[in-house]
This record gives sequence, C-alpha cells and structure tokens, in this order.
Amino acid sequence: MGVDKSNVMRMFRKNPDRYWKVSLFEDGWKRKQCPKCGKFFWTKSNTEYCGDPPCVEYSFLGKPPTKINVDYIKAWRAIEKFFVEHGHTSIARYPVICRWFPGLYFTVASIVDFQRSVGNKTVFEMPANPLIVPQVCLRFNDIPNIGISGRHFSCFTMIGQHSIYEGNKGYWKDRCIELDHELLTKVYGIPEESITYVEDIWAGPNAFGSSLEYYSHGLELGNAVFTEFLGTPEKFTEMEQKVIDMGAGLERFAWISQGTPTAYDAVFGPVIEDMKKHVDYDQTFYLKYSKLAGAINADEHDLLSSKQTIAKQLGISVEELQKRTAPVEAIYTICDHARALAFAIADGGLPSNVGGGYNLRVILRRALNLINQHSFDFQLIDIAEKHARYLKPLYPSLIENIDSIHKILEVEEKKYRSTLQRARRTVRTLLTSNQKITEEKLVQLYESQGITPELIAEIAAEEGKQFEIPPNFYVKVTERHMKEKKEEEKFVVDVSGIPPTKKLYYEDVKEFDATVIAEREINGKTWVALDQTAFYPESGGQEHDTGYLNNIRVNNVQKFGDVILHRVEQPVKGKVHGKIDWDRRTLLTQHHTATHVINGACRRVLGKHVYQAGAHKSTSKAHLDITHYENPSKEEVEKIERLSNKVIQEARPVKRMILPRTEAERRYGMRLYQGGAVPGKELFVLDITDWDVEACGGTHVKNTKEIGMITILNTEKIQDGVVRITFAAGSSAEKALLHRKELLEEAAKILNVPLEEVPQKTKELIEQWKKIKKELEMLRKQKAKTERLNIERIKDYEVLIQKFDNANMHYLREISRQLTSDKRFLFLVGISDRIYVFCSVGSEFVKQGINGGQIVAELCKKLGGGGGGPPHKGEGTIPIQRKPQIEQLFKDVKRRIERRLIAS
Amino acid sequence: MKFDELKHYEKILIETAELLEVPIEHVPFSLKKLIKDIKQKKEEIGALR
Ligand SMILES: [Zn+2]
Ligand SMILES: [Zn+2]
Repeated sequence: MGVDKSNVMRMFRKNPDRYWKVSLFEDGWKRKQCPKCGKFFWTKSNTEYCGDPPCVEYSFLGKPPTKINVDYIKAWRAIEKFFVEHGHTSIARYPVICRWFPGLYFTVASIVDFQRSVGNKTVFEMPANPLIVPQVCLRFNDIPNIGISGRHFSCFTMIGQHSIYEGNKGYWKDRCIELDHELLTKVYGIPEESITYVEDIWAGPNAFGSSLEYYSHGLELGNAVFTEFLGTPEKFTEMEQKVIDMGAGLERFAWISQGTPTAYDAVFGPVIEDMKKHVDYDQTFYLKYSKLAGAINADEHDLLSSKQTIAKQLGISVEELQKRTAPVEAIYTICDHARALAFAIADGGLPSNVGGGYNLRVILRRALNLINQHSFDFQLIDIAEKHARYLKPLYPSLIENIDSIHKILEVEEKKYRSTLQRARRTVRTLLTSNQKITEEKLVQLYESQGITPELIAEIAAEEGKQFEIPPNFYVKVTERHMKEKKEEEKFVVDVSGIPPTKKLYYEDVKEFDATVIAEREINGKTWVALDQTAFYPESGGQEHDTGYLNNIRVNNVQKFGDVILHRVEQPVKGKVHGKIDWDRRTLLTQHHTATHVINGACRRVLGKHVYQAGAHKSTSKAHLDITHYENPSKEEVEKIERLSNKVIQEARPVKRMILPRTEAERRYGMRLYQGGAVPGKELFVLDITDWDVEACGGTHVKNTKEIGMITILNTEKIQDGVVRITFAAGSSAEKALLHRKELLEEAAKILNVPLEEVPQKTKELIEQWKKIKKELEMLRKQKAKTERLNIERIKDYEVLIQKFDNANMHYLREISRQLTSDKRFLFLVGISDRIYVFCSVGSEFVKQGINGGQIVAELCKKLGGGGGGPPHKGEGTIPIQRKPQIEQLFKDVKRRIERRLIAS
Repeated sequence: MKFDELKHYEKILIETAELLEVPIEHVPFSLKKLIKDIKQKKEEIGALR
C-alpha cells in the first residue's frame, strides 16, 4: 500500500499556488513549464529550462558563481552560522548506523534522526525546534557512479533543516524557502537569476505533501519537503504537526563555491590532494573532461558508449581517455569508500557478510581491489586516518575511534589478502575454459569467494583476455542483501478491549493481590490478564517469571502491547493472590545486569566498535552477542571476566530511570540503543555508575555487588562479525564452576593423580598412546608380510579368501594394503573379540559387477552382524558366536565370485 | 569456595580438554577411552609378538 504519487501530483497541480507558491515568489517570480522534462518550476529570470541536468548543463566548473570559496568544513560553518542567527539550534550529527528505527541499517537522510516507532506508527521527535544538523548519511545504491560521475558519494553530509509547524511553534513553507533563498543569495552570494525552484511532491505510506527542489548552474543544491497531509489524495486530513524536511548536500555547497572539476576535489580537501600525487593528474584536462562527463550516470547509460562520445569531443581515443581518467577515478572512489568506512566503523558498524555489514564489505573490497589494480603505494587505513584528521573540527568521533578503525580495516585487509591467492587460481581456470562469465556466475564468485569483477578484469588483462565489468553489478549484489531487518515474530493475540496492565515488577514485589479482568484461550491453553501484576513477561531477552495465582501454577507470561497475559494451568477468576518464584527471578535479574556489566567490559577490552547484537538471559546461564570481528583471545576473555568481577567488587550503584526519549538521548547519546529500536515516548534507562548506560526494560539489581560473581563459560563466533559470550552469574556461576571442578576431580580419579597433575598425566598418556600406536602399526606390517596366503587363480584373476586368528580390522586392512591390485579379490576374516570381515575388490572385479560393500552387507546381516561400503571395499563385523559358520560363509563368497567370473 | 580457587581448577580442566582436543564435558570420558585404547593396543602387541 501507500500513496499514489501521480494522484498527489494531479491534486496539487489543480491548485499550484496553494501548494507551491511561497511568499518569496510574490516578488516577480514566474511559474514555467520546462519544455524538456515537462516539470513546473519557479524562476525570476527568463530561462526556459528547469535547471535540472540534463535539461541544463553544469555552468559552474572553473567559474564558481558564489562570492565565497569554502572548503567542506567552512561550507558547513557558514550554513550553521546563518541558521543559528535565524533562531535554529545546531545539533550534533547522529550515528550513521541507525539503531533507533526498525527496518533501517543506515542513516540515509537527516529526517531519520528524528523518526521513532511508537506502537506501529512512525512519529517525529526533535530535540529542538527548529533545528539544523550536519547529518552524515550512508547510501549504497549508487556505487557504480561513485568516483566517476564527479558528484556521487556513498557517504555524504545532508544539511538537515527541520521544523515542526503547529501554528504557534516552528515555521512553514514561506519561512523555509525565504531562509534557504537568503542562504543561497546572501551567504553564498549566488545570483538570484540563476536559481530555480522545481515543483515536486513527496508521498510516504500514509502521508504526503509538496516539495521544492532548488538548483543553480545545473546543480541540485537542496530539496525542501513539506509533509502536510495524512491519508491519501482521495481521503486525507491536514496534520496538526506539519513537518519540514529540508535536505541539502553539503558536498554540493562546497563544490559550487570552488567550481572544481569534480565534487571530490572540493570535498575531500587535503586527503585527495595527497592522493593525486600518486597519479598523473592534469587539472586543465580534467576540467574539460568533467564538463562533458557531468551527464554520465553509469546507472542509466552505458559507461563505455558515454566515454566514446566524450573521447570524440576531446579529440582523443577511448583508450587514451581511459588511460588518463581510470587512475583518477580510482583515487576518488578509494577516497570516498575510506571515508564511508571510517564513519561506519566509528559508529559501530562492522564489515561482514550479513545485513548492512554486507554493504560495508562491498565498498571495502572494492577499494582494496582498486589499490591493487593500480598498484598504488598507499594504504586504505592511511586514507581513512587522513579523513579523520581533516574532519576533526566537524566530526571529532572519527579521530577518537581511530584505533578501532585501524584494527578493523587491518583485520579485513588480511582476510581479503588470504582469499586473493585462491581467487586468482579460480579466475584463471575460469578464463582459460573460455566459457562466458554470466552475471549469475559473477554474483556467485563474489558471494562465495569474495572475487570482485575488478579482480577478474585485472587477471583477464594479465592473460590478454577481454572482460568487461557489468556496470550495475554492485547494485545487484547489494539489493539481494538489503532485505529489511525482520522483527522477531511472536504469536499474535487480540487484546483489544483489555485495559493496560499496571506493572509492579520493577519494585521487587514478591507477592501481590490483583483481580482477573480478562481471559483468553490460545491454542487450547488458558491465559489471564490482571489489573496489575508483578510477573515479569518475557522481553528484552529476559525469560518470563513463573509462580502462582492463588494456588494455580503460572508457567508463562507474555506481553501484548500494554497488556500482560499469564498462562495458567487451570482457569482462575476474581480476586487472586500472586506469588513469584523469587529464586528464579533473582537469577534472571542477576544475569540481566551481568549482561550489561560484560557489555561495558567488552567495549573497554575489545574496542569502542563493540555493540550488543542480541542477548538471552535464563536462570543457569546467559549469553551476550556482541559485534566484533574475531573470536576474542584467551587473554581478552580473561580480561573481560576480570574487569566484570572488579565492577561487581566495587559495588557500583545501578540506577533505573524513566526519561522522556529526547531527554535520554540528549543525556546519554545514541549508544543507549544497544538492543535496537525501543518503541514508546519514554525510555527505561539503566545506568551502571560510570560503566554502562543502556535503554532497557528488564529487571535489575540495585548494586553490582548483588550479582555475586560472573564466570565466562564460552565464546564463539556465531556469524560473521558477531561473537557470542556465554556466561553464568550469581549462584549459577558458582554452580557452573563447581561442576567444572567435579569434572576435574573425576578426571583426577580416573588418572589416579592429584587435581594439579591432571594435565601432566594426560600429556604423558597421549605420548604413550602415540608411541604404542606406532609400534603396533609396525608390528602389524611385519606380521602381515609373513602370513602364508592361499591365493587361488580363476581364469587370469586372483582370489584370496582366508581367515586370520587373533586379527582385528586394523590387521586385515594392513594385509589388504599389501595385497590389493586390479585383478585381485580379497575376502579376509579376522577372529578375535568379534569376527571382522574385510573385502577388497580390484577394479577389474568391479567392472564385472562385483560389489564388495554389498557382499559384506548381505553376508554379515545373514549372520546377525552388519557392514557395508563402496563397491571396491566392504567392512563389517559378526558376533563371535557365529564362528562355526565361517566355512559356510567362505563357500558362499567363492560361489558368488566364480559365477560372475565364469559368466564373463 | 572462593572464586579464584574455582577459576584455578577450571583453568586446569580447560588445559586438559585442549590436550585431548575435546569439549570440557567430555574430558573424563575421553580419558577413560584413552586408557582403554592403550590397554587394548598393548594386548594386541602382545598377541602379535
Ligand atoms: Zn527540465
Ligand atoms: Zn538489558
């Protein structure tokens, strides 16, 4: 479902003045329709065209139309100063990894900062009104254009200008465009005649409004969206709180003010200047080229044919053009990718093969590949660090997290190199086979072995073969992986009509009185709702409480919206007395707070990139899943455990607060959302003093001392980029450790040594076992050589059917090793604790249809044993009591073989 | 018992499990098997001689 955009456009175009004409346009502006694209736009000049390429061309390259020339940081400072002077609050950017809104991995626009999910509705909550924010966004749908088009980025700053308009609060369209226009003309000094405002609309799932995009000299600078209506054009209401979502590209402002050949030159500042030393960069040539290349959109056009056209215009061959542009495009791309990775990692993102991590790995490998391909003698890590230093005044968190960025890029690069050698072999084989490499095959190579099309192209070139990189490759692989984050599915119960349950479980209530107010039958089981309850329902990875209502057992508790349902063994009505299994609750609570303690320890030991990726708390143990690139070492695990127990010893107060969401976010930052998006206007915030703060609705101890102790039982990598730490807390920790001590005691008893000597004794036993094994193998070999064998000849084949006393399967195998050949059939039987049967069938016999595995299986089964194997080899056993029947068995085998051989 | 003491024994157990290349729960069983196997192999050596 959703709003039909063409219906909105039709509705608005019936009355354009109502929807698009802002007060600025009263001052001699005209509404026109672009003859090329048909869009309507507003202008003060006599231009015919809308201003949007390709309707017009770039006309600012080499001659910026602005009165100021600003780099990336100054471009923002000028904008910030202007808006703050005009009553806006300037707020710090939000993370690029979006943990506060379900269904999104990355912050893709500034408005996402303020989107929250309440119930199943999306609401907007802003910490100030109006405000501006330099929001760094990540988008991975334009990868083929990055580095080539001159204007596409995977990571960019959206200047977010936001206002919620409620009549007396905030402002609306007129003021918004007035301000934007003043910014363009007064602050940046762009001539008014060059600016056009293009009419458009915006439509979401259940809301819509008009929008104005603004352009100058062929460059889109911003887009102001005015969300005004709820519903659809057929049936709508005007919103009480109208939302202005103006997003402008900081990259564009820096670019237009400098008029450099590409936006990259203007935006990446000293970082790209350094990188240019590694290529043959000719600014005059690139300026000429860029003016022509502005129209390239690798998505829509065939890259090669575009380049052919440009080459012709420049009067050089395509090869010459490629030679001059490819290395420069490569450094632009690497520079962009390094910046995106730096932001993502600083904000807790990890390259991996799942979810959003997939996008990060795509750009990472693409960048490494380009470095390889062009043999650049710089490192991706150094580029990332240069970005961090350059951007420090605006985005200090990059340099603050430089250690994590270093470490993670290093680990990833290592992974990449180790697959590279293997990949080369695969690609060579593929290329020499002369098969066509289909897109399907490319995707498979990328996903299974990390082999990028660039790598194939590179190896192809070495081999003197042609291979063209499909332009939309990365879009395709990425789309396959951008399935939305799925919310955990739970059975749905209709609780409409039941009043919300009052929660008593945060107050350490062991027993309580309540009234049953509703009953529901779910899958044949009875569930009841109370007016109030102290039973904690399963949520946030914490298992539910159990206990009694009167004397009726409660064995499950779940939450549906605001209603808590209790599964009871028998129906119960009226007034009830509730009693919680307190030992169980205590353990669940200890494990839950312990999870937060360990999370804090992980961040300190493993790095700031660590985020919670999941958790489960039961009574005997719990696990915490964290984002980390490798299974932690023994030393790291020990450190985490030691630090966690230290925090317990220090008896730190644990504070639980209920705060308005915006207040909580302002105070503690977005790190709050460790467990992902939390619905609701208020947040439960759990603050372990100077250690860890998270939004969490679980039950918790009041002081870390109450956890008793924590012991980490195990760590393992459960998926790419996620490590599971399993641990026990409180009395369960002691129990787990005592159990381990018991295991050790059992081992000591078996070995008949003191506990301390168990490893030493084990080592000795293993050595002894190895020595004996060797000796035995040698003896078997010698003995097998001396066996007298009764080999029979049938035609020109040889058949050995023989019994060996005191022989086991190992021995029979040894004999077979010495005797097996193409024209031999061996049927060996060893008599010891059991009857061992071994059958070796030479290839000539197999050709005759003799199947060793089958013979052994049939004969052993007949004698109450079992066995089997492939045609050339069968193994089986028979109970020793059947010894008298062996002679008969031999006759059976011989008959089978003779029949076959004579028949042949 | 004290945490550090229990941790000490856990460490010994883990070291043993690593030597045997089995999960810690399998340590006693694995040791029994090892001893039994040594005995069997010794017997077989006796028989072969
Ligand atoms: Zn147009
Ligand atoms: Zn929690």
